[in-house]
Amino acid sequence: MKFLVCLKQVPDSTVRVKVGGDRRSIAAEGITWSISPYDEYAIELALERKDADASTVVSVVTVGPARSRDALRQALAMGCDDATLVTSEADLSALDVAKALAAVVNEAKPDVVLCGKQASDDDQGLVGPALAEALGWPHVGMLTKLVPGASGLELWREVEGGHEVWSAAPPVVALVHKSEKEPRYPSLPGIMKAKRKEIPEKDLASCGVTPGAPRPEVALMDLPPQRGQGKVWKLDGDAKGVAEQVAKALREEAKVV
Amino acid sequence: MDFGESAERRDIRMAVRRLCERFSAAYWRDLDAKGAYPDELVRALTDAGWLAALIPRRYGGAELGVGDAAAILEEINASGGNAAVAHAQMYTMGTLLRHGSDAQKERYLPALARGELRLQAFGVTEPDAGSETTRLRTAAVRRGDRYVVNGQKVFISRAQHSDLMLLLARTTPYDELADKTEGLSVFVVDLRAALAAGQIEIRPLPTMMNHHSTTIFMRDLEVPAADRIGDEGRGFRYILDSWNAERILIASESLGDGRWFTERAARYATERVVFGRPIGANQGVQFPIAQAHAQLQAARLLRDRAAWLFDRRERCGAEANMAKLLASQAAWAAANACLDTHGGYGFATEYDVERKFRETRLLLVAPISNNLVLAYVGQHVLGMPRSY
Repeated sequence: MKFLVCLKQVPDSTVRVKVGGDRRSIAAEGITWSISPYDEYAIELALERKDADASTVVSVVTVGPARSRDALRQALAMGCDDATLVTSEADLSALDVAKALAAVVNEAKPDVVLCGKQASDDDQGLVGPALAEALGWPHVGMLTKLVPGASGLELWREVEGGHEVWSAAPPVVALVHKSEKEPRYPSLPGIMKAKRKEIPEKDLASCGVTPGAPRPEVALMDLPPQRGQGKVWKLDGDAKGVAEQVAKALREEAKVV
Repeated sequence: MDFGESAERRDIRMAVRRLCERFSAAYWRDLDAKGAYPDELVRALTDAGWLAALIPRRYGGAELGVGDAAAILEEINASGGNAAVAHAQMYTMGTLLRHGSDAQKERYLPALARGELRLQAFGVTEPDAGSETTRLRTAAVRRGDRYVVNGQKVFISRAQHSDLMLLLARTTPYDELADKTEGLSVFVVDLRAALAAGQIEIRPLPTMMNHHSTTIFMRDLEVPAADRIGDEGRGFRYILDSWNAERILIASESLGDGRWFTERAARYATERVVFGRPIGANQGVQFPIAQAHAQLQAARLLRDRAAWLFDRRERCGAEANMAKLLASQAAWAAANACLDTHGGYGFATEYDVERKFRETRLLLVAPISNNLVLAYVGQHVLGMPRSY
């Protein structure tokens, strides 16, 4: 079986994000980039199939600026077989990204396309469903487990208070919520192998995409206001009296109850 | 001149950071409280191939250089951890790699690469021979196809968490030597067999940080002559070679510590509001952190140069020693700035500052005292009279 995992390079979760000078984007200087965590889960799910059946091929693709090559190399170092980079230095709409990915899918012809359910930078969750739409493939969201089944694939998805098991015959697009195991980290032998692999590069034109799909624009980006200092109340009386004063202060001053 | 890092080096840093993220501050705090050894972390580092970084490919390693090993250890310390728990496997390896016989390499290196053997202990220092290594007394007397070793070693780290130990012992009495740097030999000691035979005793030596230090007593310890590395009597020279790698790697741990301290200090100084503004808006708080950062950047350049020379097999004693000196001082400046910035909270264990503070303090003194680095620079680099 052939898997194609679509990933996005995002600011690492340890990065303290700052708003850029234009107040519509983040300041990119000095940022450490990594694979979006939900995409890492998707890679892990695909690699687990490869662990179970060595004939499985796991490819990765991303659409993004040239620096995204680092994320693809990281995926190769985790154990993926090959990678494709579609370069675009411009910030693209989700629809344009989905169209570019669809072109790569049509060429690679995987059985299963996995995406993280959303990217951790903008949390929009648009690309996966848009890709399924562009391909005309069925799509399943909130995936937590993927195993071969009688009619193709068993797709486990998390729902409120439990899980559902869906079945689908490939081809299918599935959006990953989590993997049972934590994503494996790149090993040193993996890094050495990844170093020897070529990562072919495409541009949007070769994918038949002319950017410009309609999109909402970010009007303003702001960090939450800085928390003020705490307040110390000096309260007297017995426990009941103190509790009443605290409740009153929480209701009338802090307005939280 | 190219000051950038290769894509491969960036990948190494990212992958080590990823692994270390699984071992949280609470993990390290708990180990520290219990005096426990991080078996899980060392296993994870081994499984991912990191502790085999310097082993040649033909023996199952990655055949990387000291510059890459430096990045690995730096990232462990920058994550809030302490690479000392496994760093010896990096620099001790050098003696075996450069001076071991093919048979010794075949015997040990593949098993080390697979994680089936641990080479984490280095038996050099003694109660009466710390920095003055040529005065060490532990004696190895040749008897047929083996040596019989008697003596005591002190401050031997991780001996209880290692299968093998490199041992430096005297094979010619000091008084019989014309050249006092001769007369010492290096052996690979199988600690498991020695313990089972009752020929060695390892006693924990508790210290101010969780460093797994021990005192080792050897009584009629039998070591096969085939486990002597290189020629008899040349051991001090062989060890000297590995010391340059050690200095570069210790400098890198200091740099990792320094990064952790300055990042923590800058964040706390930005968030902590006193008298109506962040404390970092006060120059008395801000400047020591900025100063430490600048010192770290300078030390990093010297560390990189030392590693570059080492990996080209050029002389790097001066650079390696000076990198260790400056990096440990920069980390210590960062540690103090971080502790001062945190005020009382810096002393609370849950903030981790005091733990890292204790850990990085060691690096001013060990594995070589910074005063001896200065003595080396004064005498051997600048040509001044010997001062000790």
